[in-house]
Amino acid sequence: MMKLIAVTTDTYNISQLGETIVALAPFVDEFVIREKSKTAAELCELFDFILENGVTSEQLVVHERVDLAHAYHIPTVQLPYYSMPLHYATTAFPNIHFRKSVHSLEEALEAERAGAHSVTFGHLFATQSKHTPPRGLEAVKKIKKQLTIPLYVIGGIQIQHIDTLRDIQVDGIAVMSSIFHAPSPVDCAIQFATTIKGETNMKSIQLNGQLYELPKAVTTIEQLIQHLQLEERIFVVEHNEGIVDPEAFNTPILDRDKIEIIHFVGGG
Amino acid sequence: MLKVGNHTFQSRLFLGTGKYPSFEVQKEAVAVSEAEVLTFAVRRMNIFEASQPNFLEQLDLKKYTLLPNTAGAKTAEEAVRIAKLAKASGLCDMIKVEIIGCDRSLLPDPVETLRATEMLLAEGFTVLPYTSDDVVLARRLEELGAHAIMPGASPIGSGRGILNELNLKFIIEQSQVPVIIDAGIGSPADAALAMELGADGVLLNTAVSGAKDPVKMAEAMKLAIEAGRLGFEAGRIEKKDYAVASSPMEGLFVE
Repeated sequence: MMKLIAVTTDTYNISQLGETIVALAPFVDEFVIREKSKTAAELCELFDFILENGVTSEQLVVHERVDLAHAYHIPTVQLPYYSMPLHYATTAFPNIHFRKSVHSLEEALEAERAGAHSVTFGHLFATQSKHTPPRGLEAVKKIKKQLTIPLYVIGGIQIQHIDTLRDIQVDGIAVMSSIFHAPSPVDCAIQFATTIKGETNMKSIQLNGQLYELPKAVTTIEQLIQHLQLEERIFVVEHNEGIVDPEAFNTPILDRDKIEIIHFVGGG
Repeated sequence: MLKVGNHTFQSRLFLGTGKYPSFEVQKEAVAVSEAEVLTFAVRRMNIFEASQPNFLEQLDLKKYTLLPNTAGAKTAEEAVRIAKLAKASGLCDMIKVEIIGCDRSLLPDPVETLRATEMLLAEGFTVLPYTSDDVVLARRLEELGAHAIMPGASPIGSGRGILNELNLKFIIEQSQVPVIIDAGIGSPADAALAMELGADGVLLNTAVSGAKDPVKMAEAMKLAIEAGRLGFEAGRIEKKDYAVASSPMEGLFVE
């Protein structure tokens, strides 16, 4: 399935960025950490925080800072257009996957030859981050026909483009301001994630902090409890931040609802 | 007898249920302690992985009064949300307000604790705030209507016993509501001292769950709290800085 990649925008402070990434983690496949104005110490603070709070190193791609990727065992590094020559990087760091940013078919094929693990092609559509003209879908189709390594795309991608990109079979979409500058990054990420899944008649909810696809047969809280086999357990249900009285368990669950199932555990 | 709000307890030991080495040890320690009040944390159920036995679900709830805590809350609003979820279970109306303001010392945030106490009292909870040994803060909480005051002996889990006897005595003297020393108890002597100072009860967790033999320690704490309370009621002798012989001089026949 097409990956959802969130590229950071270098507009949040480290603390806010950490919190946002942790909140997005259940719904995003990969984060490209591209915080060019931050110091190494700040980036390490970020990595320490997110890796301790549910984000895995496999979910991370470090933009250009191969030293930090190496130190934190982060498997993939994004090399920008103007990076060190790719074969120097792959020789020096044989255990790291390099993803090269490319702007043309020729560059994509060259990157593949030089040992890139994947490429990101951009920018696809008009976007606020770049000032050169967009490169468009025709170019993507051509590259996808000839490239054997994974192809990701970036640049102004919005929900309405997803179906077309899926048809072209790109391996993933990278978005920056669409998510990080949205009023609610999590809601936006959920929209992208559920649209990518393509089965828009499937309901996706946030259940105990994770993205959860409701089986078709489950339409009420009562049915969810039965589906999870919780009937004999002691718990309380919160639905969209309101406590649900057991009398009202036949309340329907809607797409993008937020449900918490809470219980008592040992504590002092 | 210890009276907190509408509840009456024989045992003056409130026992925490966190961090026991095993389910079996936890069960036995709780039983041996003869505690009637058990604290719990309120958390997401692990519904995505195979579940382990849940301690609460194994308890005979008729024998125990549940005291859920608001641990994890950083603000009064978060504490109220947790408390309402706990109350919605239908199993309890008591709530321990625990709003930590410092991650290193785990000391409570006094401002949020005051706010949460006020909000929860308005919602009809029986409120037991965990507070520092600040005498004025304890008075303020009581003035709001808290049903008990729970000052810490020393930082949570530190096992340092009572750091500031004087402050606790001030709090105990001024309080018309029960004072339950909560946090930092390490040994039975600490628990006994708390009771000898005049506290109405002791809440402890790590002292038992972290002991080498939690079951034995649970019994020791039970005895220590009984001993300390009896000692307080019995009225100890004064501390003198000279000796007073215990055997009489009268009838002495050696010169």
